[in-house]
Amino acid sequence: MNKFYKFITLGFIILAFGFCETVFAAEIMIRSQTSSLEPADQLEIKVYLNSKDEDINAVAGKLVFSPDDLKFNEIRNGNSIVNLWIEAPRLVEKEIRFAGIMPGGYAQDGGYLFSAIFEVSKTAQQSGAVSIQSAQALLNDGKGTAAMLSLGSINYTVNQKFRPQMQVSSAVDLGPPEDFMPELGRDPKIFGGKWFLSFTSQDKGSGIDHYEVAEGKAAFRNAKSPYLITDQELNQPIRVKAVAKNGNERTVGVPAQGSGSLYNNSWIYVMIIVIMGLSILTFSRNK
Amino acid sequence: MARRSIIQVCLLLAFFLSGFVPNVSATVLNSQQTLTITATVPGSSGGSGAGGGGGGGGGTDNTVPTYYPTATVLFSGKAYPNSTVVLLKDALVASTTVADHNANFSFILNGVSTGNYLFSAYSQDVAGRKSTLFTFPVNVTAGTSVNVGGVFIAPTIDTDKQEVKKGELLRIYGQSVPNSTVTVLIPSARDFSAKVQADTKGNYNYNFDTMLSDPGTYIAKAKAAVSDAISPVGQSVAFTVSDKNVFKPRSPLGGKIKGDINGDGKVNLLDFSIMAYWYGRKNPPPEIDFDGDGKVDLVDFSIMAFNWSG
Repeated sequence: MNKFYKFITLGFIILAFGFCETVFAAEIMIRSQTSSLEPADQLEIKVYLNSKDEDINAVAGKLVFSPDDLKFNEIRNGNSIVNLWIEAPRLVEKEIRFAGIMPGGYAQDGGYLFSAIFEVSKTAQQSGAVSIQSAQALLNDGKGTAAMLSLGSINYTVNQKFRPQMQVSSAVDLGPPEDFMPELGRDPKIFGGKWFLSFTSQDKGSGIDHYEVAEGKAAFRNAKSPYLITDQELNQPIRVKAVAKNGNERTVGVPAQGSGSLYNNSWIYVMIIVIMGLSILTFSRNK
Repeated sequence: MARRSIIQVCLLLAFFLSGFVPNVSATVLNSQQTLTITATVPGSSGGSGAGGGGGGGGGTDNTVPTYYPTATVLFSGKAYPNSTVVLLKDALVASTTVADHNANFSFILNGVSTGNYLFSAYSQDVAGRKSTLFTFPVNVTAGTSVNVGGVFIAPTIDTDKQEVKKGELLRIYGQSVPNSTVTVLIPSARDFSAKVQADTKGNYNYNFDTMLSDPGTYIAKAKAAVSDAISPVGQSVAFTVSDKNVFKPRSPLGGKIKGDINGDGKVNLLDFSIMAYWYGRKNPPPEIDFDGDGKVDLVDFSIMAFNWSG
């Protein structure tokens, strides 16, 4: 009887500890529209942060899947709670890596991070799993303390074809990327102290696909922030274009700053005043 | 003839100086200016248009209208009397305003697209101490007007000493809303809290008796309450109880902010870019490696995000 009570008590303690962790740990959770798949189906895996009352300001991790079962199609990160991506979600060595920050912190549940769209392979195994691994969520405490974190996973089964192919709908995206303001910077700790440009925008619909930069009259070309400026004299205006995944664009500009730019050059003003003065003088004398 | 030419030159120069050229030189771009906006809707044959964000448009079947629905978001809350309040939208400065003498402030943001946003507000008190960010997610639906009220920025806090002799008083002070009740918290084995009334300018003072405190390092924090509103707990300040007094330098602006890599007094996109450049690279400059572990990793970014000013 004594052994029975010990067993019950031990079981209760183990359950209680397990329960506590489930309730209080922050969570990187994943969701899909179904777990019952068929070959050629499209599958959208949505990744969320549940902070569970913790104040989280940085997240990173990997979304791991079986590339034999699931063919990676695309990432969607429009409307993400991540304001600044250190590493925007992308496929690296058969897994999707991500890292980003939310300045000021995020202390709610259901914070959307990103989605990964896959297509089920025709040779997929009968079952498999998609999971979050090697993830971190750090507290907004000024020290980067790691929050206790539970990691989500989804098990799926692949069945014979019974129904029409499942498709993931396109993201609704009517507007261009958010307005943004590129910032000029120069610091000895980057690019040998040369001028660079920092920029970031968001697209609440389909997400930002890429950025393009054009210096002066040059054509736009793909660029990443921080962007090392070619014209270090800053004599030419620079345009930065944010391009959303559905093709919507927003272009903003940075005026020329250098000594070669007309209105930053005080001697031009002096010359104009001198010429005007001389002209008026000549005009007066001739009169 | 020569006289006429001279007059023409004069008129031309006057025209230049009158500011005509800067207007013409709209191709010399303004950093806040939106040059072109084009939109493509999947399923259409594409197209483009130019116009300001949220501006009216139109278009034919094959032309994507430049109009897209937006919303207006209104914010109101409390900071410190006559202080500058900064509003961040997704970590970038969206607007600034000045609170009135009762510490009330408000913002109106127009042309906000449909979507989820993380808005933050912060302020600086009369002595230049920066508050923590008050962050709140807002879901915006186009065509609506979203009203966000009750933003209550936490009190600032400081101490007169960084080290206090056991048994002596430590002055804990800062600023909040005028006549608010400020609760000073000192978490420890013997959790301590005390309530103090802010004066008409929002300043509060509390003399903490260290008689019962064991030698060691502590942190103090504060939150404020006024009528039925309570602020979040604000920035923490550290102090040590020991066998001597070490007074703090008078200026709170003297110290460098962790995260301000380029030393411009702000923690913003430029600092983020410098840090992002070193993410995953070997031998980063020690000034970027905040936790001193020899690499720039997520912890360093988290420290930067905590001190963010936009």
